Amino acid sequence: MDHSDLRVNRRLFLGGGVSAVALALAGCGFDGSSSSADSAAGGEGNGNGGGPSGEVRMHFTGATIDSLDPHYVNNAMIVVPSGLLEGLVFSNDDGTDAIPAAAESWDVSEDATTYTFHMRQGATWSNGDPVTAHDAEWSFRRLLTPTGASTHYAAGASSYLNGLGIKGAGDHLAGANDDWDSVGIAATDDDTLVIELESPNPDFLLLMSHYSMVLVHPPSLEDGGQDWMQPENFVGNGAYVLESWEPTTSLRMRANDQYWDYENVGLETVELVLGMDGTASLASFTSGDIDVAVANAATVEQREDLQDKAMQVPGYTMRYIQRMWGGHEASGDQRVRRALSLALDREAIAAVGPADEPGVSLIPGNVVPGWDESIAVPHDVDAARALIDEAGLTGNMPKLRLQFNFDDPWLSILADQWREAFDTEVIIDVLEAGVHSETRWAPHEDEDTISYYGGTFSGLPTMVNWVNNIFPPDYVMQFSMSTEDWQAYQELEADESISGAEKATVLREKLRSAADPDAVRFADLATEAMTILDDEERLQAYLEAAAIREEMAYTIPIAWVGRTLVVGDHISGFVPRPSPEITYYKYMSIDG
Amino acid sequence: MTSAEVTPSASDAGKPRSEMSRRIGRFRRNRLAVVGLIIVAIACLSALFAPVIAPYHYATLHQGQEFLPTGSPGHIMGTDILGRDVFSRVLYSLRTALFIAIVAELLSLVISFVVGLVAGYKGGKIDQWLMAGTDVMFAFPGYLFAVLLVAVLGRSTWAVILALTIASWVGLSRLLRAQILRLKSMEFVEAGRAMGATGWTLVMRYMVPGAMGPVLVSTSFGIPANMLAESGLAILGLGVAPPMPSVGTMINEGYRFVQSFPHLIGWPVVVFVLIMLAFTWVGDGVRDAFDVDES
Amino acid sequence: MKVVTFVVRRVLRVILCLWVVSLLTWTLLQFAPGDFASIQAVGGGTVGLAQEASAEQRAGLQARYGDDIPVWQQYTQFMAGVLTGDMGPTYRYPHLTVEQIIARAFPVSAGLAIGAVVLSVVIAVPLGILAAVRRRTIWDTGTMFVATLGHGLPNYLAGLVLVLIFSAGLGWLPPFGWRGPENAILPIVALAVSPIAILARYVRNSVLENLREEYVVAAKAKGGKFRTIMGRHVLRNSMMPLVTVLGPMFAGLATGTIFVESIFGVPGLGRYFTEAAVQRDMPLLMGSTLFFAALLMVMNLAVDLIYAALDPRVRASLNLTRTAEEALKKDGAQPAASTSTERTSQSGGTL
Repeated sequence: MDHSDLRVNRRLFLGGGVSAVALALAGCGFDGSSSSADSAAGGEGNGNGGGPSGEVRMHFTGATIDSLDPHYVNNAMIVVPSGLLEGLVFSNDDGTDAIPAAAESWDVSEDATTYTFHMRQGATWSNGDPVTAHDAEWSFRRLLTPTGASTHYAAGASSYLNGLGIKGAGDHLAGANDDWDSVGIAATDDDTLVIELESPNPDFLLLMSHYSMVLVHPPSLEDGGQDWMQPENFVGNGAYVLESWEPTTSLRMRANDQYWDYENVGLETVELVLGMDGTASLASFTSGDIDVAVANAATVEQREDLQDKAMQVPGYTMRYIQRMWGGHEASGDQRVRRALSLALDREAIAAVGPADEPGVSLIPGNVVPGWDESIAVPHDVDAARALIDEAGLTGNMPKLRLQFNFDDPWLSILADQWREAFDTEVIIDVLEAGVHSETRWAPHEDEDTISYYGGTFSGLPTMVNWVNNIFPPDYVMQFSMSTEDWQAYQELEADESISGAEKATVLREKLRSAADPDAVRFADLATEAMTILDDEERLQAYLEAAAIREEMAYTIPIAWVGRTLVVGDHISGFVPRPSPEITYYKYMSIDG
Repeated sequence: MTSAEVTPSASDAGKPRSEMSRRIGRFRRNRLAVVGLIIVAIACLSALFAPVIAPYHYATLHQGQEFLPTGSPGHIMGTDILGRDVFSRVLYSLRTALFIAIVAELLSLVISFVVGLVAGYKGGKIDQWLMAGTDVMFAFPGYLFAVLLVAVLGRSTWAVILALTIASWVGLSRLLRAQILRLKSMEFVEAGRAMGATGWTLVMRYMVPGAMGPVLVSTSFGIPANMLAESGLAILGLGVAPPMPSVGTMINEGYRFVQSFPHLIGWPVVVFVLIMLAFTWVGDGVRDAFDVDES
Repeated sequence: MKVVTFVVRRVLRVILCLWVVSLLTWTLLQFAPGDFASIQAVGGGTVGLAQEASAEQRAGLQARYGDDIPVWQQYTQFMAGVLTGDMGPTYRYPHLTVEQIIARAFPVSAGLAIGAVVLSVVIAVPLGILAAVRRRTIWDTGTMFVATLGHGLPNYLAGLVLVLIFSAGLGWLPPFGWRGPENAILPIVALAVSPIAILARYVRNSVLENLREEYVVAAKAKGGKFRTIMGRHVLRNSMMPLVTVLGPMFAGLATGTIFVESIFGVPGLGRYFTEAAVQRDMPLLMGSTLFFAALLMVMNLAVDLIYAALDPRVRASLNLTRTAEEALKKDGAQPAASTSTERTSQSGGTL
């Protein structure tokens, strides 16, 4: 009797357990629970006027997407401009020019400083509201308001492109001028937006395709909350609207039937898969589970079956090392810094990231039009040693140190090259994220060591962007200050007794008087270059400025980082470009 | 300190010794345990002498010899993306892992002995407070502690050791306390008490040896558990700072190339799993030797 | 009546423990270098903030991250939020509150945990019994060898191996994502590997121990049938201690494991929690830590109660019967204490 009891109990126990699993899984809310209907429709038509169909899953980042707010720097940049929100313009397939998007057309004034955008007739938000010029003005105003993006850690200040050169924008953002009417952005009526520039800027239109310049839906965002990002609240003007979003694993979008070009949108559903490592990504790709993936370049090189699907996307990202304040005084000597840069064999460093190219300058010359070999840093160990000798450090070369927040093969190679060239100890300090963030801008304490920290920057491939926006004049001047001046400058910044325009002036004066004279020269040249009207002359001015920045070597370029994608044969219209958004989803489709 | 007091305990000591040798005998009859012990010994020796055995330093780069396959001349396990010798790196990672695991285990033994003995022997309020402390530690997520410790102390060997120690002392303390409580009521301890042994003499002479069995077992399982935890921390980027290799980072790096250069993950995994197995066999052997009555 | 007092006292202790845990986490967080904003700035590749932020922007940021009030006040504010069930938005995912993240991620983790626990029981119990009954045969050594192997295999390795075999190799199951039940299979198996090994060994030892008990020997001597003895005495008594292992095991798994979640793309709690620690996302870290701790302690309490219901000796040791003293004397050991030690060996492997 006991025996059978036991059996019953066991069965009950197991049965209970199994149904508990079923229940639990049912409650899990799988990401794609509503996708079955979509995939059934997949494969019909190819999007050329037949309306959207089919589903594509793509994997671009191992990181999360934390927010969809385009007005501060975050991973929203890889998805928002690609499909969810549309700016006035798109970039063309090569990423070299602007084409109409939310603006149907535009006029440029004679002196090339006033752009009049005509909004697309009949274009609406996904809830049916018309997309107006006032919406655009509201969006840009939010971007340029210091606390606009709901007090995010890195709002506007870093996501607005100074290189756009919109009149008064920089000052407004810096708090030096809080009168919005003085900023050169105004909607004259529902259909017309006028943007005035400080000076002519041939890159202006292309830079307007930057992710921070997309439009947001004012009524959704006006209350300052974050709920507008929830799939059920999301209102956009892009080809796709948000369907579901699990920040760590997946973001799904479906075609926006209110979109002005809905008939030409290729895909019904696009899913960005998040957080995969390279191996899972490739496994998913080969099994057909995902259609486009970033892949480990070394593996793709080894695998013949993948090679015709592989696509090299040239880098829009710059890997650099930045001299830290403090440490050995020799880091203030330009010859020493220059020697550190000359000693690097960038070919060898790029070889460990097969999609990378040698970063011979702080402008990624492989993608920026007009770039010139003349500003490239050569690999010349003898010259480097000669400079060290000149600086009187032969035989007592200080220790060198590299600080970064995660381990990466290039660190070891770089350290090895320095060790070899200067016969000194090179320390690689891989720090936990918080420690890195706390120490990289603090003066390094060990006075026997010259210290650099590593980082990356990304940006659209134009000269003005890479001179005036990335490693821009202010940045270069700040990092060229002596440790004492830097600390004094920070104290000024923190000083609460002055504010607004007055503070901006004080800071500016301090910056210009304390910075390395070369840095100031760079800053002046770079700013002036923006105002030059003649194309050739302007380019030369940029190159001249860039050469000074390179010579100073406070920031040393390491690599132009690219990536390798594998794209399924059945996908067409996938055109990657050297910008954060990678591709516009609206052009993609599945071949029939 | 009269001789009268020494004699009974000296004759008494005869019994544990024969008991001990009986246990050693039982352990030696367990073939897997002996094999495990040999592997562990080899691993410890190679870790100790890694600088002598390893053909190269773990951070030496060999330009132009990247991704050499297993069995290449001069690199029996091949090389990685930077041309570093995989065999040397495995050896050094073992050195790191074993050092961290063993030191952390010893540290946690020391802490647990103090806590467990005091709680178990003294009892009362002290016991209650100490056990309340362990309650909190139980509920406190261990790896949060590890994350924060490594963050505060930097990615050093000692930070990892401390993190592992803090995560593991609680269980051992409770085990020791339970042992002491059990032994308190045992006949031979009561006999000792009757013979005039008091306080710490009683604890150290009678109770500690009696508790050694479970402690040994727990230690031999604790070391591989620490190795496991260390590799986990390394994968999260919280292990020892590179370029010092650790099993976790080697596995992590190797996984990136598993579809193209599987030897990069293969070797560290094989060696790691083998050592984990060996420790478990040893642990089983020790447990059988101490716990199981002859039948 | 005794039971009620017991439960009330334990619940009070849980609350006290949670409070201490919250203080401890908070303190650690204050000591941890770096803060959320500056860590984000590193990741975002920005230099803007430190130099260019205007006064308004700084004030806004300070208000958002609570830096405009003293640290202790930040703590009390957050704890008030815990009590009222409103812990506010997380730093990292500004559109989600802590409760929302736990509410969507915990069921996922818990589902996997239940799956893994059930799977390990289904596999490990028969294996353990088999090994014990066929002691010192190939069944025993074989099973225990495999169990040992599983024990030494960290779940991230198990996960990687599973992906390589079933996704990259055979292409049977998706390696990544959370789109349907087929996505749950590999993570559950990966999670279950170590528990299977632990349970199988546990069951084997437990059965062996019971086989040696006097009453079994006596039953055998009386000529009882093997099956009857097994069913009636041995199994029943051997399975009971399982409860003490399964509870904490479930709690450990249900809070999510960062590796399995990352490898298989499961949107569970583990990754949120780990990243909250790495990124110093105070509300999410505090919230998930407290949730974790509460879950663990409630599970332990539940286990003790269930165990007490099953086993009179335990009831005695927890002072739930009048014969507590006697039972303790007779039994010698302290079952409550020994169950706790089992827990450590389980939770050690979940990192």
